[in-house]
Amino acid sequence: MNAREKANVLDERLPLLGKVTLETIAETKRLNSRFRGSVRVSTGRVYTDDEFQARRKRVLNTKLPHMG
Amino acid sequence: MAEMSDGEKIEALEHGLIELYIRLKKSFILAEETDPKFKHFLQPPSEIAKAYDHLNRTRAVQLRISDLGPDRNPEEYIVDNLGKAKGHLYRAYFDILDWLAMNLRESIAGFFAPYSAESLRTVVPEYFTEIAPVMDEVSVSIAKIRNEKDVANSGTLKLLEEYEEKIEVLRNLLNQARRKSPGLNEHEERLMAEKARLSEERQKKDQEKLIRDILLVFLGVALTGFIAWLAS
Repeated sequence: MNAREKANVLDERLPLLGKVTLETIAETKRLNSRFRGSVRVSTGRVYTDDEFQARRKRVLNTKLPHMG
Repeated sequence: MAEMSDGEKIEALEHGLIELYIRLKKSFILAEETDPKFKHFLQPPSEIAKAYDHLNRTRAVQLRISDLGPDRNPEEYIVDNLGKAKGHLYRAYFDILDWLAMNLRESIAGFFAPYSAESLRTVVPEYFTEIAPVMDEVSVSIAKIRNEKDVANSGTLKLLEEYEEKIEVLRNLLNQARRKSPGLNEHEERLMAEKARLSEERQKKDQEKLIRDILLVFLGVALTGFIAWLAS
Protein backbone atom coordinates (compact mmCIF):
# COMPACT_ATOMS: atom_id res chain seq x y z
CA MET A 1 0.00 0.00 0.00
CA ASN A 2 1.52 3.33 -0.94
CA ALA A 3 1.32 6.52 1.12
CA ARG A 4 -1.61 7.92 -0.89
CA GLU A 5 -3.59 4.68 -0.39
CA LYS A 6 -2.83 4.78 3.32
CA ALA A 7 -4.20 8.33 3.49
CA ASN A 8 -7.37 7.12 1.78
CA VAL A 9 -7.82 4.28 4.28
CA LEU A 10 -7.25 6.65 7.18
CA ASP A 11 -9.88 9.03 5.81
CA GLU A 12 -12.53 6.29 5.74
CA ARG A 13 -15.09 6.27 8.55
CA LEU A 14 -14.11 3.94 11.40
CA PRO A 15 -16.82 1.29 11.70
CA LEU A 16 -17.88 1.30 15.32
CA LEU A 17 -20.61 -0.06 17.47
CA GLY A 18 -23.99 1.49 16.63
CA LYS A 19 -26.83 1.50 19.12
CA VAL A 20 -26.16 -0.88 22.03
CA THR A 21 -29.13 -3.24 22.37
CA LEU A 22 -29.87 -6.50 24.17
CA GLU A 23 -28.90 -8.30 20.96
CA THR A 24 -25.49 -6.57 20.94
CA ILE A 25 -24.91 -7.71 24.51
CA ALA A 26 -26.02 -11.29 23.78
CA GLU A 27 -23.67 -11.40 20.79
CA THR A 28 -20.77 -10.02 22.86
CA LYS A 29 -21.35 -12.69 25.51
CA ARG A 30 -21.54 -15.40 22.87
CA LEU A 31 -18.17 -14.37 21.44
CA ASN A 32 -16.44 -13.61 24.74
CA SER A 33 -13.94 -16.47 24.48
CA ARG A 34 -12.41 -14.85 21.41
CA PHE A 35 -11.53 -11.55 23.05
CA ARG A 36 -9.65 -10.29 26.06
CA GLY A 37 -10.66 -7.13 27.78
CA SER A 38 -13.20 -5.82 30.24
CA VAL A 39 -14.81 -8.52 32.37
CA ARG A 40 -17.97 -6.43 32.58
CA VAL A 41 -18.24 -6.29 28.82
CA SER A 42 -17.50 -9.97 28.25
CA THR A 43 -20.05 -11.01 30.88
CA GLY A 44 -22.69 -8.71 29.43
CA ARG A 45 -22.71 -6.22 32.32
CA VAL A 46 -23.27 -3.35 29.92
CA TYR A 47 -26.00 -0.72 29.67
CA THR A 48 -28.04 -0.77 26.52
CA ASP A 49 -28.60 2.75 25.18
CA ASP A 50 -32.30 2.58 26.06
CA GLU A 51 -31.57 1.29 29.55
CA PHE A 52 -29.08 4.10 30.16
CA GLN A 53 -31.57 6.75 29.04
CA ALA A 54 -34.29 5.20 31.22
CA ARG A 55 -31.95 5.20 34.19
CA ARG A 56 -31.03 8.83 33.57
CA LYS A 57 -34.70 9.80 33.56
CA ARG A 58 -35.47 7.76 36.68
CA VAL A 59 -32.51 9.12 38.66
CA LEU A 60 -33.22 12.73 37.70
CA ASN A 61 -36.85 12.36 38.79
CA THR A 62 -36.04 10.65 42.09
CA LYS A 63 -36.68 12.84 45.08
CA LEU A 64 -34.45 12.49 48.10
CA PRO A 65 -36.06 10.50 50.95
CA HIS A 66 -38.42 12.53 53.21
CA MET A 67 -38.31 15.50 50.83
CA GLY A 68 -41.81 15.07 49.46
CA MET B 1 -0.58 39.15 20.42
CA ALA B 2 1.15 37.62 17.39
CA GLU B 3 -0.81 34.97 15.57
CA MET B 4 0.37 31.41 16.21
CA SER B 5 2.16 29.52 13.46
CA ASP B 6 0.64 26.25 12.22
CA GLY B 7 3.25 24.34 14.20
CA GLU B 8 2.43 26.22 17.40
CA LYS B 9 -1.29 25.78 16.79
CA ILE B 10 -0.82 22.02 16.36
CA GLU B 11 1.30 21.73 19.48
CA ALA B 12 -1.24 23.69 21.52
CA LEU B 13 -4.08 21.50 20.24
CA GLU B 14 -2.18 18.28 20.99
CA HIS B 15 -1.30 19.57 24.44
CA GLY B 16 -4.95 20.40 25.12
CA LEU B 17 -6.09 17.00 23.87
CA ILE B 18 -3.78 15.09 26.17
CA GLU B 19 -4.74 17.23 29.17
CA LEU B 20 -8.40 16.63 28.33
CA TYR B 21 -7.83 12.89 27.92
CA ILE B 22 -6.15 12.61 31.34
CA ARG B 23 -9.08 14.35 33.08
CA LEU B 24 -11.60 12.31 31.15
CA LYS B 25 -9.84 9.04 31.96
CA LYS B 26 -9.75 9.86 35.67
CA SER B 27 -13.50 10.48 35.68
CA PHE B 28 -14.13 7.39 33.55
CA ILE B 29 -12.37 5.15 36.09
CA LEU B 30 -14.35 6.76 38.90
CA ALA B 31 -17.65 6.37 37.01
CA GLU B 32 -17.00 2.68 36.42
CA GLU B 33 -16.06 2.16 40.08
CA THR B 34 -19.16 3.93 41.38
CA ASP B 35 -21.77 2.33 39.13
CA PRO B 36 -24.28 0.74 41.54
CA LYS B 37 -25.01 -2.15 39.19
CA PHE B 38 -21.33 -2.70 38.27
CA LYS B 39 -22.23 -2.11 34.65
CA HIS B 40 -20.19 -0.60 31.87
CA PHE B 41 -21.27 2.22 29.55
CA LEU B 42 -19.97 1.80 25.99
CA GLN B 43 -20.62 5.24 24.49
CA PRO B 44 -17.53 6.94 25.99
CA PRO B 45 -15.01 4.32 24.71
CA SER B 46 -16.71 4.53 21.33
CA GLU B 47 -16.12 8.31 21.24
CA ILE B 48 -12.53 7.81 22.45
CA ALA B 49 -11.94 5.35 19.59
CA LYS B 50 -13.19 7.97 17.12
CA ALA B 51 -10.80 10.54 18.62
CA TYR B 52 -7.97 8.00 18.32
CA ASP B 53 -8.86 7.52 14.65
CA HIS B 54 -8.48 11.27 14.00
CA LEU B 55 -5.20 11.35 15.93
CA ASN B 56 -3.82 8.56 13.75
CA ARG B 57 -4.69 10.58 10.66
CA THR B 58 -2.61 13.47 11.98
CA ARG B 59 0.32 11.32 13.10
CA ALA B 60 0.40 9.52 9.75
CA VAL B 61 0.91 12.87 8.02
CA GLN B 62 3.45 14.07 10.57
CA LEU B 63 5.46 10.84 10.23
CA ARG B 64 5.05 10.88 6.43
CA ILE B 65 3.29 7.50 6.51
CA SER B 66 0.42 8.91 4.51
CA ASP B 67 0.46 11.34 1.61
CA LEU B 68 -2.49 13.70 1.24
CA GLY B 69 -1.62 14.61 -2.31
CA PRO B 70 -0.93 18.04 -3.80
CA ASP B 71 -4.45 19.45 -3.29
CA ARG B 72 -4.56 19.29 0.48
CA ASN B 73 -2.58 21.34 2.98
CA PRO B 74 -1.05 19.00 5.62
CA GLU B 75 -1.12 21.59 8.43
CA GLU B 76 -4.75 22.46 7.80
CA TYR B 77 -5.58 18.73 7.65
CA ILE B 78 -3.85 18.15 10.99
CA VAL B 79 -5.55 21.12 12.68
CA ASP B 80 -8.91 19.99 11.31
CA ASN B 81 -8.46 16.42 12.56
CA LEU B 82 -7.19 17.50 15.94
CA GLY B 83 -10.29 19.67 16.25
CA LYS B 84 -12.48 16.69 15.40
CA ALA B 85 -10.61 14.51 17.90
CA LYS B 86 -11.28 17.16 20.54
CA GLY B 87 -15.00 17.15 19.65
CA HIS B 88 -15.17 13.38 20.22
CA LEU B 89 -13.31 13.63 23.52
CA TYR B 90 -15.74 16.35 24.64
CA ARG B 91 -18.67 14.06 23.80
CA ALA B 92 -17.03 11.19 25.71
CA TYR B 93 -16.39 13.49 28.66
CA PHE B 94 -19.99 14.73 28.83
CA ASP B 95 -21.23 11.12 28.72
CA ILE B 96 -18.82 10.13 31.49
CA LEU B 97 -19.80 13.05 33.71
CA ASP B 98 -23.49 12.28 33.14
CA TRP B 99 -22.84 8.69 34.17
CA LEU B 100 -20.84 9.77 37.23
CA ALA B 101 -23.49 12.31 38.30
CA MET B 102 -26.16 9.62 38.06
CA ASN B 103 -24.12 7.20 40.15
CA LEU B 104 -23.48 9.78 42.85
CA ARG B 105 -27.10 10.99 42.97
CA GLU B 106 -28.33 7.44 43.26
CA SER B 107 -25.78 6.62 45.97
CA ILE B 108 -26.75 9.67 48.01
CA ALA B 109 -30.50 8.96 47.75
CA GLY B 110 -29.86 5.25 48.45
CA PHE B 111 -27.74 6.09 51.48
CA PHE B 112 -30.50 8.08 53.20
CA ALA B 113 -33.43 5.89 52.11
CA PRO B 114 -33.33 3.32 54.97
CA TYR B 115 -33.37 5.98 57.70
CA SER B 116 -36.45 7.54 59.26
CA ALA B 117 -37.07 11.27 59.06
CA GLU B 118 -36.68 11.39 62.85
CA SER B 119 -33.16 9.90 62.73
CA LEU B 120 -32.20 12.30 59.96
CA ARG B 121 -33.57 15.28 61.89
CA THR B 122 -31.67 14.27 65.03
CA VAL B 123 -28.35 13.04 63.63
CA VAL B 124 -28.04 14.90 60.31
CA PRO B 125 -30.10 18.08 60.69
CA GLU B 126 -28.11 19.52 57.76
CA TYR B 127 -29.79 16.91 55.54
CA PHE B 128 -32.87 19.13 55.36
CA THR B 129 -31.11 22.49 55.46
CA GLU B 130 -28.01 21.83 53.38
CA ILE B 131 -27.64 18.42 51.74
CA ALA B 132 -31.05 18.16 50.05
CA PRO B 133 -31.13 21.80 48.86
CA VAL B 134 -27.56 21.55 47.50
CA MET B 135 -28.49 18.31 45.71
CA ASP B 136 -31.42 20.09 44.09
CA GLU B 137 -29.26 23.06 43.10
CA VAL B 138 -26.63 20.77 41.59
CA SER B 139 -29.28 18.89 39.61
CA VAL B 140 -30.62 22.15 38.19
CA SER B 141 -27.09 23.30 37.29
CA ILE B 142 -26.30 19.99 35.61
CA ALA B 143 -29.50 20.16 33.56
CA LYS B 144 -28.52 23.69 32.51
CA ILE B 145 -25.00 22.60 31.53
CA ARG B 146 -26.41 19.70 29.51
CA ASN B 147 -28.73 22.05 27.66
CA GLU B 148 -25.89 24.44 26.84
CA LYS B 149 -23.45 21.76 25.70
CA ASP B 150 -22.21 22.04 22.16
CA VAL B 151 -18.94 20.25 21.44
CA ALA B 152 -18.08 22.65 18.63
CA ASN B 153 -18.39 25.64 20.93
CA SER B 154 -15.25 27.31 22.26
CA GLY B 155 -16.81 27.54 25.74
CA THR B 156 -17.18 23.76 26.06
CA LEU B 157 -14.11 23.26 28.22
CA LYS B 158 -15.43 25.85 30.68
CA LEU B 159 -18.77 24.04 30.79
CA LEU B 160 -16.99 20.76 31.45
CA GLU B 161 -15.03 22.36 34.26
CA GLU B 162 -18.29 23.63 35.77
CA TYR B 163 -19.71 20.13 35.44
CA GLU B 164 -16.61 18.68 37.19
CA GLU B 165 -17.13 21.14 40.04
CA LYS B 166 -20.74 19.98 40.46
CA ILE B 167 -19.57 16.37 40.49
CA GLU B 168 -17.09 17.27 43.22
CA VAL B 169 -19.94 18.80 45.24
CA LEU B 170 -21.89 15.55 44.91
CA ARG B 171 -18.85 13.49 45.94
CA ASN B 172 -18.36 15.67 49.02
CA LEU B 173 -22.05 15.31 49.92
CA LEU B 174 -21.77 11.54 49.67
CA ASN B 175 -18.65 11.50 51.86
CA GLN B 176 -20.32 13.85 54.33
CA ALA B 177 -23.32 11.50 54.45
CA ARG B 178 -21.20 8.39 54.90
CA ARG B 179 -19.41 9.93 57.88
CA LYS B 180 -22.79 10.11 59.63
CA SER B 181 -23.44 6.42 59.11
CA PRO B 182 -22.47 5.18 62.63
CA GLY B 183 -24.57 7.86 64.34
CA LEU B 184 -27.55 7.20 62.09
CA ASN B 185 -27.37 3.44 62.61
CA GLU B 186 -27.12 3.87 66.38
CA HIS B 187 -30.08 6.27 66.46
CA GLU B 188 -32.14 4.03 64.22
CA GLU B 189 -31.43 1.02 66.49
CA ARG B 190 -32.43 3.04 69.53
CA LEU B 191 -35.67 4.04 67.79
CA MET B 192 -36.40 0.44 66.89
CA ALA B 193 -35.71 -0.69 70.47
CA GLU B 194 -38.01 2.06 71.79
CA LYS B 195 -40.70 1.06 69.32
CA ALA B 196 -40.37 -2.60 70.35
CA ARG B 197 -40.58 -1.63 74.04
CA LEU B 198 -43.71 0.49 73.47
CA SER B 199 -45.30 -2.27 71.43
CA GLU B 200 -44.55 -4.81 74.18
CA GLU B 201 -46.02 -2.48 76.83
CA ARG B 202 -49.13 -1.95 74.74
CA GLN B 203 -49.50 -5.69 74.26
CA LYS B 204 -49.14 -6.25 78.01
CA LYS B 205 -51.75 -3.57 78.76
CA ASP B 206 -54.11 -5.08 76.18
CA GLN B 207 -53.71 -8.50 77.78
CA GLU B 208 -54.37 -7.13 81.27
CA LYS B 209 -57.46 -5.32 80.00
CA LEU B 210 -58.72 -8.53 78.38
CA ILE B 211 -58.29 -10.51 81.60
CA ARG B 212 -60.02 -7.71 83.55
CA ASP B 213 -62.91 -7.70 81.09
CA ILE B 214 -63.31 -11.49 81.28
CA LEU B 215 -63.25 -11.37 85.07
CA LEU B 216 -65.88 -8.60 85.06
CA VAL B 217 -68.11 -10.68 82.79
CA PHE B 218 -67.77 -13.69 85.11
CA LEU B 219 -68.45 -11.51 88.12
CA GLY B 220 -71.51 -10.05 86.40
CA VAL B 221 -72.84 -13.50 85.56
CA ALA B 222 -72.18 -14.73 89.12
CA LEU B 223 -73.85 -11.67 90.67
CA THR B 224 -76.87 -12.02 88.39
CA GLY B 225 -77.13 -15.69 89.36
CA PHE B 226 -76.79 -14.86 93.06
CA ILE B 227 -79.48 -12.14 92.88
CA ALA B 228 -81.77 -14.49 91.00
CA TRP B 229 -81.21 -17.16 93.69
CA LEU B 230 -81.98 -14.66 96.48
CA ALA B 231 -85.13 -13.54 94.71
CA SER B 232 -86.32 -17.12 94.35
